[in-house]
Amino acid sequence: MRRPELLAPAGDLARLKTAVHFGADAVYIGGKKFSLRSRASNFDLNDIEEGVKYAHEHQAKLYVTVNMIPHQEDLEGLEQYLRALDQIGVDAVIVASLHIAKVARQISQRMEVHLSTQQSSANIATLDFYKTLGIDRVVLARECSLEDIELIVNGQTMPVEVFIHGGMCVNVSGRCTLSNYMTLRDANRGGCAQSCRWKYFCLDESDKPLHDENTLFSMSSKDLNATIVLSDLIRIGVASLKIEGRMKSEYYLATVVGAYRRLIDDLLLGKDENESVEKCNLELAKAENRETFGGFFLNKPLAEGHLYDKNGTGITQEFLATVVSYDHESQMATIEVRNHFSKEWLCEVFGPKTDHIRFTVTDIINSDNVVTERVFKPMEVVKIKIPFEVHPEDFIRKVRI
Amino acid sequence: MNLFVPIHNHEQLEAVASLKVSAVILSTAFCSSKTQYPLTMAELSSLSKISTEMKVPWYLSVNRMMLQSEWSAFEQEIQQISTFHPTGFIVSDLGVMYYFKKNYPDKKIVLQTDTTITNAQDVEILLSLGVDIVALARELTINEVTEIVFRHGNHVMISGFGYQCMSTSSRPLMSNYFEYIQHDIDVLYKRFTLQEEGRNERYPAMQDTHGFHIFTSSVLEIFDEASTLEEIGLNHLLIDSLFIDDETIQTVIKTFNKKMVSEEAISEISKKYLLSKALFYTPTSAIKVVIE
Repeated sequence: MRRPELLAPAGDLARLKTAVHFGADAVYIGGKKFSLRSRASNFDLNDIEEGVKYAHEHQAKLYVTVNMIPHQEDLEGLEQYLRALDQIGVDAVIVASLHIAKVARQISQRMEVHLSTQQSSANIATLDFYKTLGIDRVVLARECSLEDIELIVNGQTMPVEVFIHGGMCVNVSGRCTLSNYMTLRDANRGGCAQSCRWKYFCLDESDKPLHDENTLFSMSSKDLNATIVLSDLIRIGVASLKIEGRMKSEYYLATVVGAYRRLIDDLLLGKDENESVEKCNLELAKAENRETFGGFFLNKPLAEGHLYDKNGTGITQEFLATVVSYDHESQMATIEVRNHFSKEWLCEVFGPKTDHIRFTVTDIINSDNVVTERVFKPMEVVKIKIPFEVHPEDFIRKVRI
Repeated sequence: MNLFVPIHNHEQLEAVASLKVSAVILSTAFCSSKTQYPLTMAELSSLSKISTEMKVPWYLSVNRMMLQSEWSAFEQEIQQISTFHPTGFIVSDLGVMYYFKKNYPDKKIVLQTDTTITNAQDVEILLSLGVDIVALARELTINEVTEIVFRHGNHVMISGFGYQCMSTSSRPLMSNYFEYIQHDIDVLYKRFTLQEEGRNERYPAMQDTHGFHIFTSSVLEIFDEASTLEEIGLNHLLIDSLFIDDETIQTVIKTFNKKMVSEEAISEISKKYLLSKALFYTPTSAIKVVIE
């Protein structure tokens, strides 16, 4: 089986580094211009340059989303911006507009042009069409089933990318303007207000209420989780497996990227699939804040693909700190605090080289070199005893039992 | 002004033909979405025959995403429909558009994606690839439409009347909901109304075999604006007839054809429907704009 690319999102440089560190083969980010997800902490050109440098030093690729559906007023400076991305060494731009695709292709033969899922490509003829425009890769519509994906990959038009994890638009991507009409925020220019997640009364043609007063109509989708079909996606030959979530936290990324990295590697090594998937899902549950389901891969989503009564579930574990360094002799780890914790807490360390090992906090020395019972200042650098080797950039989380 | 009007029976065809529409739009359950009355092959055959006899061009609506697993069924249906000699196709999937250009090069193609065509450069690319008429995104303002019409007016279409589609989901959202709350309700092709719990607007919605669609709370009307746009080259108007009665559609056609004054038409239509200019004068933006 061919090794697919694991593609992760990042909202800033710290998250980009986390994604690469936890095993992403490529990272996609949004620039300050021409990108959706306006609330994500987007990168300026200097950050992008640093991101490219970091990614390339770690044998990873960096893609930049230029995926808004631009109105006339938005196009100013496009060519200059794309030239800058090319000069910086960005590996690909992810576009949704035909014009942006065309300009990007004209500017650079080196920088790849990937077509965003915003164009909802779901058949070979669409890929044939985009090939004539010089597109190098298409991100398929989330509405594609495994069967659709296999047929499209077998069509061999160009490499395809498929979303495997994270938030899902309940409507056809790029074809939804609920937010425009309901909040005057343009969904196709990064302003989506997620009106689909609101609650609605439902009436028939004669205005008779049909809804349940306790459970109003909602389109809120559960998040996608493709673990059960991951081996199929690899077997089919999907070029890139994409995780959604440029606005997600560093902890979420570390957990999700790390979990999928292990699952892909285990499957490629021929390890037991059920066991590997189960292990991956246990890990993913530690970062989720919304329930997940299998999307369109096996069938069109029915009621089980929605969240009618609630918007999500609590995460099972919480992020406490990252490891800065480790002293073997004293078994003291220097760590950077993210959330408060105390002595006696049961914790777990995880990282690309550290396999989810648990320990109980026994000794804490704060930044004033004073022994303490608890720490509570975010970003404080403290020392704690960990009775096994840990590595820089490993994550520490609390275990909830 | 060339008017494109969806119809689904002989009476409608005769009525709109006598009012001089430029083309009628016909739908089938497999190819089309956002219609309450898809035609069977027999009905399509009959209506297309009469259209041809009456010299009214007709277009098949293929206004949905076509999945690869549906492709051979799609090809078969189109092969059969092509024997009824459509003037062209109204498509929303760029792959479907590409397929038609390659396999039915003598047919006209109207590309209507509802949302994604928002600037003159995109229109230019689509025209250069063989699309005959490009329908602009529904969320554009009149200034944005004007700018594009200045450059490509003869090949541009906009919606002139009707409920505007705000969203399309491939999921059967209404039946999913009723399944969840355990209500046994037949939803297919029925009109429902959604009302967000904190707002007064009521949005018409419907489910067909391809998914679930939600529409604007009011009916777009741009009688006067269309005249102005016609002066600078706009040639094609789509009349969205979903959830609108036949009499009103005839009034709309008369008004766009300047057989009725707009004030009179608006006064008549507004007795039955809440009219608005949709987003024609209300720009939307990437960020939340706080109006002081």
